[in-house]
Amino acid sequence: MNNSDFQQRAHTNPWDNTEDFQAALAEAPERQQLLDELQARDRQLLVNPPLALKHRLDAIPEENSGLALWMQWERALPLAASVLLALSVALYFWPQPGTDALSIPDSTLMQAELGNDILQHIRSEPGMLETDKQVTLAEVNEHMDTLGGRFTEDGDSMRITDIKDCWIKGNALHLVVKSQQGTVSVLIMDNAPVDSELPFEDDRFQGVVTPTPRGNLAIVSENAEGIEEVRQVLASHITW
Amino acid sequence: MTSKESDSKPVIDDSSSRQQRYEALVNEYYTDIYRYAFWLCRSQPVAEDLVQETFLRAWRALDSLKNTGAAKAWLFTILRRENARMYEKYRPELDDIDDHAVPEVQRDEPDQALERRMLHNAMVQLEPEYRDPLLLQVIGGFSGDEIAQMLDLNTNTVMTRLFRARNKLKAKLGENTDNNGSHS
Repeated sequence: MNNSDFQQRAHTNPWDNTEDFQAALAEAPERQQLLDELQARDRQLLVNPPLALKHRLDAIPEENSGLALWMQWERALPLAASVLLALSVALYFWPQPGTDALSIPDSTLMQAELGNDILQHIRSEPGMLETDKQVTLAEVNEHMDTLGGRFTEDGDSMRITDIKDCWIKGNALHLVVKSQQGTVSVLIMDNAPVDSELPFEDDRFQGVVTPTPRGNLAIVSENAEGIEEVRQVLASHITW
Repeated sequence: MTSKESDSKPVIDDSSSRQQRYEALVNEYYTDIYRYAFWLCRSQPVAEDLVQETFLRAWRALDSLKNTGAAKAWLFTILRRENARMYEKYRPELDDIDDHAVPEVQRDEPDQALERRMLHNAMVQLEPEYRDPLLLQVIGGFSGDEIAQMLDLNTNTVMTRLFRARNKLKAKLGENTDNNGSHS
């Protein structure tokens, strides 16, 4: 194999273990340097996943065990029922004079999914509810800069015990606040504001999404009193 | 380096419970899936969500995976579709290259960190038609034929794009080296 052919094969697949390629490597050992460079560059693409990701993935079956059974049942529905549903949806979103039919479905669907996305995110981060760090206001505001908000100086009346950047239909900041009524999760989200306050709940948490000048603010807790307490503090201590 | 070495051992025993089969999938492939997701979307938090969504869909559709040997390609395909779906609906703002976080490796020496950042930037600028086959080969360990099937291309096109992808990266990194005044 001449050098030109070797270079082409090496650049196409530096992990080529075919007989002719390995023979070409053996016949000219200096070719190993090119191969080493190409393989080293490939290895740099092998980034490692965050440690917490595995826990999130392991939790999926438990969090979705009921849903799996429902999905099996849904596949057994007769085709006519699916067609009927599709027709109903199409008629519901049929453009009315003066409206933009394309914008309505996305906004409605996104709002319907937002509460579930928030709950799913909180369930995927159980460790955040247990940690007890001392997160300063300065740290919070560093993260808040990209979201367009800021905690005022006297916002440090809240005890923030964890903080994490995340993604919920847009860039978001996840705070955990220890209030007198218990632990509260606060999510500040840079995504399309909801039309009005959006309550949501599952068998453990309840929460509410409130639109803000820039996006949405969600407060989630296991009890309603905790939500209200933190909501009042946030209302007076965040500027946009 | 890739998952090629692990392809010889069975990933999922067909007699295992549904949960055991799922756990085997996660243990075997979540690292490669994350790596692919990261370079597809170039953002760590989005990649995490993509991976979670991929395995959620895999869990729901696990009964449809009849051939355990096809599990890896199946997962990669789910991820590609999920990435396309999320990008189309919610993430045009991720086109801003400055928002992308370079994966940190604590043990990196400063030179290594610089090289990693340079490669990261070069990959971000690589066109998708070159980046996708390269990632499937390097991270997924797929052959040219397998990549061709996944991307609906012919094999010769895939091989050409792999060759050009590496040459483009080399050229881009060479430019960055000149700009930084250091040697790679």
